[in-house]
Formats: sequence, structure tokens, C-alpha cells
Amino acid sequence: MNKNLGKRLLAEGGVVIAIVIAFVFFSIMAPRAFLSFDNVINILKSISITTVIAMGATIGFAAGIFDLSFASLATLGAALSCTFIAWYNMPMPIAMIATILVCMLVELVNSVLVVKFQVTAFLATLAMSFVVDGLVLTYSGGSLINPRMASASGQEVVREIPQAFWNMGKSPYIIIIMFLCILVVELFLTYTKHGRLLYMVGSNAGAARLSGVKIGMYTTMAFMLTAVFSSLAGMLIAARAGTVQSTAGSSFLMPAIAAANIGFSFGGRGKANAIGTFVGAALIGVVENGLYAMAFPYYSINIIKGIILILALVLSTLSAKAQENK
Amino acid sequence: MENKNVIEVKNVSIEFPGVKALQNVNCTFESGTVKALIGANGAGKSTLMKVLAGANPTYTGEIYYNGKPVEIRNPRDAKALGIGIVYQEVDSILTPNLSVAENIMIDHMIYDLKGIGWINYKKLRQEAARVLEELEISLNVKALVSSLTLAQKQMVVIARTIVQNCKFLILDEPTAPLSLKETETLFKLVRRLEAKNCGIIFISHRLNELFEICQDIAVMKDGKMVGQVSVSENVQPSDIVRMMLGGISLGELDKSGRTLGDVVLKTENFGDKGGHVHHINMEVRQGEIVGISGLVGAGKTELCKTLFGEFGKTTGNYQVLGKTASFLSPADAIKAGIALIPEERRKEGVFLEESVNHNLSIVTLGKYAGALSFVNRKRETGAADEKIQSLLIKTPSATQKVGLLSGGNQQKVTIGKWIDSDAQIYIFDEPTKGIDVGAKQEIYKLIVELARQGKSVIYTSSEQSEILMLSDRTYVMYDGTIQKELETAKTNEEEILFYSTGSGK
Repeated sequence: MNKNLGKRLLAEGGVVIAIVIAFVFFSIMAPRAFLSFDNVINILKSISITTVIAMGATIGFAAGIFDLSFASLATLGAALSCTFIAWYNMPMPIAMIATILVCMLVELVNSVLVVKFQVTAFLATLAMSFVVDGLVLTYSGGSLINPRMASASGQEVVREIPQAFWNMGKSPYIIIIMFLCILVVELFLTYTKHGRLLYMVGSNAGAARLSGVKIGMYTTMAFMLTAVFSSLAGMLIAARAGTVQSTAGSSFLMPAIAAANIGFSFGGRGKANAIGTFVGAALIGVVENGLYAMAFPYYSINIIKGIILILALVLSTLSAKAQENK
Repeated sequence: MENKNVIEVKNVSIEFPGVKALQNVNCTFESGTVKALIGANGAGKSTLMKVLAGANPTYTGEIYYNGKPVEIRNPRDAKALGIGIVYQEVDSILTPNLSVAENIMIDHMIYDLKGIGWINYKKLRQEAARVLEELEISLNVKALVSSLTLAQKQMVVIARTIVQNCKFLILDEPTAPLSLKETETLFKLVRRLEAKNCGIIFISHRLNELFEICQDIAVMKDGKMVGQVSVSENVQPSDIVRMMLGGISLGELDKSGRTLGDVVLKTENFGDKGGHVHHINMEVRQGEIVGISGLVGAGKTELCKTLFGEFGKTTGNYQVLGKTASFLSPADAIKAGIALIPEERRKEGVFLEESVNHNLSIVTLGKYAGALSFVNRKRETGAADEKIQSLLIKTPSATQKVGLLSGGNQQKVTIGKWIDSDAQIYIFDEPTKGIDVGAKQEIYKLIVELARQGKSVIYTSSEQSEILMLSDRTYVMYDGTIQKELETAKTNEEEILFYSTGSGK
């Protein structure tokens, strides 16, 4: 009995335990650089974009969709949001809405490919990510986008980016935005009818269809919501960095997928969920930050990140097994 | 052709956990003849054939080959004796992305090529073409198997079995998925093999075709061989049916307290665009329990799904509760008042990974949702608890995963998701398949209770006894359409089975 409880605790709260262990470990190894309130804020700030972008992936996974284009969409969101203001003279709210709409349009194409033409989501969105990457490069004329300067094609700066935009990328705002996103997604997925049906479609689309659930609609909805969080994350990227590189979003692809998958096991839920995803992102963030604090060579950090993902996946598989043997 | 090969099966038994699948079976198979093996679902036909094919290594008893005792403990033993089997699911045996030639010669490629294993494609194709020619099958050896029809795939599997010097060929319900014309082609092939001194063992549910193609018929029931006759004798299909049934009954069921109302579902020349079912003329009244009888492959599931809008657009006339129905999806059918309890319970009925609670609320989730579509969890769990009690669902709690429940309780969950919906017509597709006897009785009672409440029930089953016990009227299906309508009170198992096997056409 006790042994079972221990097993369950490890399986369901394993990620949290891992974070605590990592935290203690780094606090001892690099007390000065790691253990401080400022650094905790630093970690939260560093994982905020990953978390926001991973919210889209979380909703996708919930509906049983493996969307690979969400990171490229974030790049698009970054590029469009600041340049809509700077080059096309849109007020900030309008520019943000327009950015979200463009990203939704891209995901709409994805959902048509998946729902109407029955293309595997994984492949459709992989292809789409190439298209979007290419679109961003074309839009920027192949160079770095700097909203304070004229574009490569000679588009002049006609409006200064308001401070409010830059603030989105600074703490505490970026951290607040992250927690708001987590809250909204958690409420949506766990407490609303549409969130529930999204999960049911992801769990067994055939049975959902025979229960009267419009699975095409829910697949489309998942793509649309992914677009919203990707474009929002894109704005945060632009606001934090000040400029937009053509690879700005794609560097978040693997961490976001990892975070969402690590989060599966959280609380024994066994499926993609907002809080789990945050915890997953936090684990990656703590380890990354701690390794930097220990002056671990930055070029080798991905090795550790990859190993964490592997361990987490083993853990969540064990968690699923523990559930079955309960 | 003088040297006849003979397989004798003597006192072969096999036991699976809880079931005696075969009990002291005795049977003889000779080369150059076609012998039919027939019996109801679960009679042990496939189990016996798997013994011969080496797929059931735990049998007891003796098998003799030309008088010598042999052991068939794995597929290689069977192959060495020249016994080949063509299972029903031809798709699972073939490699769709390879050509016809490669599929026919696959065992040659796996076992005969030594060293690096260079493949001489020219020779491979020639050899495959030679086999096809010998069997008079016209197929392009370069064609990809994925581009073939099911009947053609079956031919490929047969050719592949023959190429390995097969002396006995077992065909497990080969005609179930075939059209009449395709069946004729298959029969020609069977006759050619017979002439080549191959022994054919032919499993089928369709009595008529057995009389057409076989010399001997062996009948199985409940794991026993209950009769063996030669077709040349003066045997009637009804004699075979009597042997298959052997007098089983399920007892009485109290169906009183129901009143039949107006016609709530009516079809005329109804069918689906894909042609799974066609020319369906049926009527269901309020409070009535209508049985759909027929053997596996008769089109019962397809009829259920067509009525439920799963196959999209339909042909002919279809009326539900007085309105013309043209359902594009199950959602439309549900809105019109139809519920379906599908045959593939684990795949299509329940969400194995989800809780009992979430499974029970999926159809009516909108009822429990308030502002901003937030689900009122109290009401949701309350409704779930009520259903768990009224349907006697055995589960430790409403949060238990449905995948952990027994088959009978999973079925109750599948029924439970509809009982607080607006469904007026319940379609049950083989609802007691794979469910233990006790749970079966509870499901029967539940169905009668629904009818008492004024709901209409359409009930499919391949077990005649179940249809007789439960239904008021029954439609017997064969080959995708309704073969006969019978008043349950005035019919018996024999008559149902008679029409199910395509007789009386």
C-alpha cells in the first residue's frame, strides 16, 4: 500500500519533485549565482515565452493533433506585430488583432488540410512551417527585422512602437501575461464544455463522432487557439528582443513540445494540460538557468535538455502504467 | 492424381481460459475434394483450422498425415506438411506497398535467399506470373497490392499459399466480403485447385454456396463436431441448420407493459451511396423492438450506421418521426432523435482513457453547461451517479477510467450516455457481443425497459435465439439487404437461419 502510494506520488508529481531536486542541487552548487529572488524572477521570465507558445501545443495535443507549425507562426507573429505598427502605421491594438488574424488564417489552411483532405496533421503542419518560414523571410527581405529602421524593401518607419509594446517583453508584465494564459487555458480545457469535448475528440475521435460531437469543428478550434497563443508568443518575442530574427520562433519548438509532454503526467491527468505544461517548462527553465549559473558550457546545454525530456517521457509512461494497475 | 493425401484429426481438444474451445474433434480431410466446415459464431471452426495451420500449439489429441502421426506446433510444421491457410483478414497478411509479384514470392525472399540476398526481380516476376497463369488469375504482377480490390488481394494470398507447394488449402470465410461475381471467380479457382489434387477446406456461413462447391459438409457446434454429411446424399439446407442449432434456448423474458404507437422510422428502397446496404424497406413503431438478424458480413452494422448518418448521403426514402431525414453525419441523426450503441464497443462506444463520469455526459454535456459554457460539475456528477445507480454500473467510483471496467459495464456506460438525451429510437448493434451471461440478462432488461418508456428499439444480432427472445418482429438480412421479414412469434431459429444463409431466394 505504502509502496503503491510512493509510486503514484512519483508518477503524478514526479516533475515537481524533479524541479525541487534540481533547485536544491543548483542552490548548493552555485549558491551565489542561483539562489536569489531575482534569479527566480529571471527563471520565470525566461520560461514565459516557452510557456505561452506551449499553451497552443497543449491545446493541440489535447485534441490529438501534433501541430509542428506553431513555432514558425510565432516568428510570423513577431515579425508582423511590430512592423504593422512601425511600417504600416497601425495603432498597437489593431496591429495585434491583425497579427492574430493572419496567424489564424494560416492555421485555418492547416485545419482544411487535416479535416477536409485528411492529411496527417504532423505532415501538413510540417509543410506549412516551411511556407511560413519562407513568408517571413520574404516579408523581411531576408534580413533581420528592426522596427526602428526602414525595411529592406524601403518601407519607412512611420510610427514609433509605443512603450506599452516593449513593456510586454519586460518583467513583471511578461510573467503576468504567462500566468493569465495558463489560467485561461486551464479554465477552458478543464472546466468548459468545449474544452471537455476537445479532450474527448483527442481521446477517441470515432466514438466522439458517434456521440454527436462535430470533430471537424473541434479540430479547427484547436488549430485556431494554437494560432492565438503562437501569435501572442510572437509579440512577446518581438517585445523582449526588440528585433525579429528569421529563426526567432523555431528555437521554441522543441522546448514547447517537451514542456507539454512532460506535463502529461502532472497530477495523474495523463493528458496535455495547462498547469502540467507550465511545470514542464519550469523544469526545463530551472535546469537551464542552473547550468548557466554553474558556468556549464552553453553549447552543451541541449544535451541535458534532451536527457530531461527522455526521462520525463519514461516517467509519464510509467505514470500511465501505474494508473492501469491501480 | 493417384496418390491421395489424407489428414486425420483424432480426439483433438483445446482449452482456453474458461472455455473448452474444442472437445474431442474427429475429422478427415482428403486431397482433391472440397470440404465445408460450418457452424454458428464461436462453434470452434476457426480454432480447429488454426490447429491445422500451427497457430494453436497447445492442442491435445493426434493428427495423422497419410497414416503417420504428426505434430503441428507452429506454422512451419504446417508449411512442411503443405497446409496453407487464407485468413479472413487478407489485408493483414499482405504488404500493400509491394508489388503482386513480391507479395506472392515473399516466403521465397525470406527463406530461400542466402548471403546478401540479391533479388532477381525478373525471375521473381516470371515465377509469380507462372503461378498466376497456372491458376488462371489475370493480374499484373507489377501492380501494387494497395491498388487491388479485396477480391484480387484474396487471389494474391491464395497464389502465395499455392506457390509454397501447398497440398491443403484452408479458406476462412473467403466469400463474406465478396460480391456475387467475385464469388463465382473464386469458385472457379477453387475447382481448378481441386482438379490439381489440392484438398480444400472451406469455412462459410452461406449454406447455398456450400452446396454449390463442396462435396462434404462438417458441422460444428460448441467446440464439437456434431455431424458430417456428403452433399451427394439427399441433404437439404434445413438438415444442416438443424445440426447447427441442436436446440438451445435462452429462457423467457418479460416483455409486457409496452404499448405500440405510431410508426417512428420508415425506409423505402433505402441504402447508402457506397452500396454497403441497398433496397432496405423497413418500419419501426413506437415501443416496438425490431430485430435485425443475419450472419457476420450480412450488412447489419452497415445498416445501423447508414440509419445513423455515419456514411453521409443516402439513397431512397427515409423518414424519422414523421420527417424526411437526410443525415450528413451522426450529429444530424442524434438531433432527429436517434441513438446508436455501436458494435465495436471499445473502439466506437466508449472513451477507454476517460472517466465513467465524462463518458456518461458526452452526449448531453450542453445540458450541464451554463454561462460561457462552463460545465456545472455538481449537476454532471449528480446525473452520472444517478445513471450508475439506475443502470447498475459496477464501478468503484465515477472517476474510474472506463477502460478498467468489464465489458458488460462498458456497454452499460455506452447505453447510459443516451438515457437523458432526447433519443426516441435506439439502435443496438450486437450489444451483447463479448459480454458474460449475467450482464447479458441485464442488458436485455434495460432494452425492454426503454421500450416500456415508449422508445423504439432496433436490435441486431447474429444469434437467432437472442432475436427470438427479444424482438417483436425481425428483418433477416443477407448480402446487404433485407431478405425476409418475420413475425417473431410465428417463426423459429431454423427459419431465421434459413433466410440468413441466403436460402429461399
